[in-house]
Amino acid sequence: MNKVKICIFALIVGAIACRDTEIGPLSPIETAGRLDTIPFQPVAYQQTPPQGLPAMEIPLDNPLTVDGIKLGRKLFYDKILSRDSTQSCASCHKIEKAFTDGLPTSVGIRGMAGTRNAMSLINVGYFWKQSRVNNFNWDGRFATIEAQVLAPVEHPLELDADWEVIVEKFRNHPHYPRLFRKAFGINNLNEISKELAAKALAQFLRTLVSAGSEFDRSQWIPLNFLSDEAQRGYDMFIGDANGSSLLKDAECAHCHSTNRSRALFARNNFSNNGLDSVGDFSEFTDFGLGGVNNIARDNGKFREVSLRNIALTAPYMHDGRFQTLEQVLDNYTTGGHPAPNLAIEMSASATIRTLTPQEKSDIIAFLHTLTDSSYFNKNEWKNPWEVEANPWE
Amino acid sequence: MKKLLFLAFCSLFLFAQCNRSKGDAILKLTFKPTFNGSPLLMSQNYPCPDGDTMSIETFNFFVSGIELTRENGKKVKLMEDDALYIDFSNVFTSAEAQTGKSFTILEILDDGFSEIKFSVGVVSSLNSKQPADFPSSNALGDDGNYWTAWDSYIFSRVEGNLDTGRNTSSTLPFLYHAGVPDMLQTRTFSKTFATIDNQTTELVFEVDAATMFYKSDNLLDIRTLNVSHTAAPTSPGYPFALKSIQNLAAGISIQ
Repeated sequence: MNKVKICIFALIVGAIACRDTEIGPLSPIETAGRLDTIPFQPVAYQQTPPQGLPAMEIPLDNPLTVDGIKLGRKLFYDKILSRDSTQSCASCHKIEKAFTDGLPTSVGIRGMAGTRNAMSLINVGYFWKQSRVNNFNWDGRFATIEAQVLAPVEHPLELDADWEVIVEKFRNHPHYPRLFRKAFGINNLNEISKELAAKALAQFLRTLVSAGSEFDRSQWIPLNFLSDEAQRGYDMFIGDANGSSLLKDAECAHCHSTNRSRALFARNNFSNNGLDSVGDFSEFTDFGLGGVNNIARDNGKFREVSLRNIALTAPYMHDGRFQTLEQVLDNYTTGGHPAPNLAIEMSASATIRTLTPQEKSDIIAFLHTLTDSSYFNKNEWKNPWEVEANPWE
Repeated sequence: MKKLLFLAFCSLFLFAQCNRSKGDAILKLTFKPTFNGSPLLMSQNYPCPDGDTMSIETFNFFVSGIELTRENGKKVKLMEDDALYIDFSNVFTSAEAQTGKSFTILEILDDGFSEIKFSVGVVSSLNSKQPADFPSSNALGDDGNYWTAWDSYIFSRVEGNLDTGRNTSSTLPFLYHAGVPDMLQTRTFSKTFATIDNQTTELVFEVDAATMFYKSDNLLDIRTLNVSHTAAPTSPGYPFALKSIQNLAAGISIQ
């Protein structure tokens, strides 16, 4: 009988020892930071490219989702990303200016003058070359969009913030934890990170696709034609005018390449387009790509930008030195300023120096046909706090 | 009956072996840039036969339609859906020039071969495609390698500066881009070599840039026309673009 009692007692003790340690409701300490009670039901975002543009290459570690894009759009317009909460990404990337700001160089918080012109974000997702480390910014400093979007937040002349501080703001925000959970399925507040914020921003930026211009309509919709001036301009732009003595080759398409399946009007490379006279690579005031890769012969080289919406993105060049397209064209038609690494396409061609005022006007008329204003009313690209009744939903 | 089945099986096996086109050998093709026998470095001045000096800033071309001839005479096509892009534009040291640009082709038949043939340019089955048909990591997916006015890839590019030191010292930049199917150049190289499963066989080619301009029976005179990227046969620039790729192909030799 004693043995039986001992066994029963041992069984009871064992049962108590082996029980689930969570008995009853969790304490506040144990619930703090948990997000897993919020549903995570990711929905893939189906991006249908317009005619003239292909399916965008998307990095495998950051697929587009509906909630990821929503979060990214809020972050893009939220001034929480700046030190003094006065500026957001949208301060220098305004939708009505093809996501530029209309200034020669951007102005950061407290009126701090930057050193570079704000680049357009239209179609930015198409400029990722998978095998290349120099893809984004005028100087190719960043390989991916995800890497690029982190930089302006902490740049002393831009948003001048601290990501650690911002992430803490996210964690204590009444809404962002829920949005990060819905976008990325994180289970705890401490998983909110700048990397996830960058992914969300990148997802939103990849939705900024535009190919609804007059030029596009002329390519894809029957009975839509360019004006005579713009057509002449286009023929000179793409060059090799079939030996016609009536049309000159303006040599534009060497660097602003286009083709029927990917009409981006950008070779997406780096070159010196003759902005400054230098005798030696060390004389450039802005080293551009060379300042990033430390290769002297790349000094003074900058990204060849897409010409889509170019009529909306004045002023032009990495330092915004040209106010008008006419000034840009004059730079090219004078052959540019001499430098050891001046693009051969400019130095070798005698033809571009002979363009008449009418021919230059025709080319500019063509460039204007690359303007797509249809997205001006796209609410899904606009500031959610300005267009939505419940922006935090 | 069993013997018949066994014989049939052996026959089928032998037939399959004779007609297989893939194996586990590896073929490495290496292209080395030269100028009159010396390693070619970009942006360096080289003496020309006529007293001028020349520097080259850009030098690249596609190779496609690669085909090997087996010792039994049968042909084996390689990389039918892709092309090699030989880009010497970032060759700035002797070491880089002597290393050259190498490309590894897998699944090569374990066999003996007597010939390799390829085209300088993009064969029509690929040239009918567009950059968006290829990933951005592929040279065929690079918009800058496609010329929309031709509906064609740019088969070859050579750009640089000629220092016309014969008369007065003045620099004449030059640019020749060749494309369109009519400009495709095919070369066949007789070479006995063997490939072995799980081993790499290397074939080395020298690409002499000087030949592009100074080939004795096909001179490309930069002074006459220093820029051509036309595909119009009636254009004055057409012969120059054509010569540039004809001579480029002629300047390739196998070691």
